Amino acid sequence: MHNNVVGTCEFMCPTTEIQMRERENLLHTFEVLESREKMKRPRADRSKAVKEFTRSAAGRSDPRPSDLRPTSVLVKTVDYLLERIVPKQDVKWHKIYDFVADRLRSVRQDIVIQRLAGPEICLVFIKCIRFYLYAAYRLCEVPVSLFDPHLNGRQAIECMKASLLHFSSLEVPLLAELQELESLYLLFNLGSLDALMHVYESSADVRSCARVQLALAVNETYLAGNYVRFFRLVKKLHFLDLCAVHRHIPQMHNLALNRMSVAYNSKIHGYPMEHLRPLLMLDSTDKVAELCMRHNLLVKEGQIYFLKAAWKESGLANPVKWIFCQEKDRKTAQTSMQLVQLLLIGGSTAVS
Amino acid sequence: MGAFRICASDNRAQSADSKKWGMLNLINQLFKIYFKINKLHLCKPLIRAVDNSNFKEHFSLSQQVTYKYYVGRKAMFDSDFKGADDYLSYAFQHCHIMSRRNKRMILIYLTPVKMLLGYMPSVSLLQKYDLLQFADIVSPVRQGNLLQLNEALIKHEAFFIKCGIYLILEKLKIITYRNLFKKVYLILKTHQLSVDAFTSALRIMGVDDIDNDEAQCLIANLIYEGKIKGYISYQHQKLVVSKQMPFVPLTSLK
Repeated sequence: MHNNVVGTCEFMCPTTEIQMRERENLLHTFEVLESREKMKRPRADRSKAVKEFTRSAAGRSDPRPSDLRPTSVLVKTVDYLLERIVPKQDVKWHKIYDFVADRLRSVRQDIVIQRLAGPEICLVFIKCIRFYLYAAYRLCEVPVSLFDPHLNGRQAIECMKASLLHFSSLEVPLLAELQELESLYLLFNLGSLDALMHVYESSADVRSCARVQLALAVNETYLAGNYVRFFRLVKKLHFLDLCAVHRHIPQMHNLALNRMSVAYNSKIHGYPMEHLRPLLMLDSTDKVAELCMRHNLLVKEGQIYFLKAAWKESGLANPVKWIFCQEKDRKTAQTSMQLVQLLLIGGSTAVS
Repeated sequence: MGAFRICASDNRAQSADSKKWGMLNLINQLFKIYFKINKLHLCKPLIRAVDNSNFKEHFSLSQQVTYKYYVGRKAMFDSDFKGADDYLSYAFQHCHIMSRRNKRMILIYLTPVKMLLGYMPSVSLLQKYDLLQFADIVSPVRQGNLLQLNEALIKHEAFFIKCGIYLILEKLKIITYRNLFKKVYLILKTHQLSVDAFTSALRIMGVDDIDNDEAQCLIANLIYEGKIKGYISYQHQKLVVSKQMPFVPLTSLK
């Protein structure tokens, strides 16, 4: 049993790695010295190079302290990524995602290897989570070859689970961030009994705050199949909470139409599309029609004919940037500065 | 776990000496652990092993009671309420009369299961086993009083969460709606019930921010689950119910 390794690397990227990647021409565009970027073998910009994620392989010797970054450097690294890389406008965002997600993974790896803990580490975790959840929303309409929501989701969940442990072992609790974390965890894992039990077993301080109460209410409506209240509540969520719950929305659309196909079953009478549209927060009656037709429900002259016998199960549609989401995005994360603030400090615990 | 595997795979010894006799006791211990660490899915292979054995009925009664207690709780978790009822009822009935504490523990899980199947516990039973927390739940569910149910759930939150039954009790909400709506039907004495009536009933019961759309949604869910026989007419804003027993008796549901 050896003692924890203590990292001594002062830079965002260890020198040995910079030298190696310069040599092998493996620097990322974001990491090169501007004056030299057009050259065949660009040089690294020390202030921009960030340690890559590499899998710890069996048989490899333990990492040297000079390759590991201590807490203060990790904090600086994460802040650099979120402040400087995330808001870049000159590159397609999925490429930004690839870079940032990889470098954050390396940050988390340094944390694990050194078994770091404490409030600054908790804040590092929560910033990572905010990034993953925001990315899940921002890139939801991008083809899966460019962004895989499953892989992103896995990183997010891994990070959330680690955070929950770290937060629970703090001597002085970070209440606001913990409330945020519990709420995001519950919403991202909507319907999960585990996540729900976890919230119920947390302290009253956490559970009773408005943000977590709203998340619990959303979860309850989801489990109860109360599609009307579900969307009403979702509209009230903080933007990050909306990003967390976003991927579950198609399931609720599905459920609503399924319930209605049984309850409004009629060969003669229809249900007006324009009435359903706002209940399900869909963008237009065309979108309502599209959804109905996916499930083989007849749509004619602005009316939906709910027929139990006609209903066809169909794979879930992918979540998209519905107008109500875009509106919240505009209010919260429109400008670069707003986006950075969102990721660095997450916004207040007050319900928007 | 290793000990369990040795017992379970003892195929060679004769029945009387077989290590298989140790199986159930070990399984019960493992169940205890799995429940404590909240990894219920690990129970499945153990349950399968017992189901496959032909010694099932011959283990001692106390071991069988313990076994059925845990399997019943697992069934609750899997929303198999009929199964849970069978197991937990067996455990309760066969639990030694002097083991008050054990009987109470079984009852903590049996009560919500029975309630979801439509059987309400008597106050005297709850009093006998010091489980009056449930009494605060029974009356609002019967009356269809959502607000009072919520208050009761919050009042005894700590107890229900500690026992791990808080979420099951949440399912009683749909039964509460059903009971409330049935009252509306009995009052109006017609098969064509205006949705307004249901919305008003919910408002009277303290659900302030409800409207016709949400009331229809709640009704839709009850129809979907087979608890109400009928359909909703959007045109006329009415729930049209079957002329025969539109509110399916809870005790007859799966």
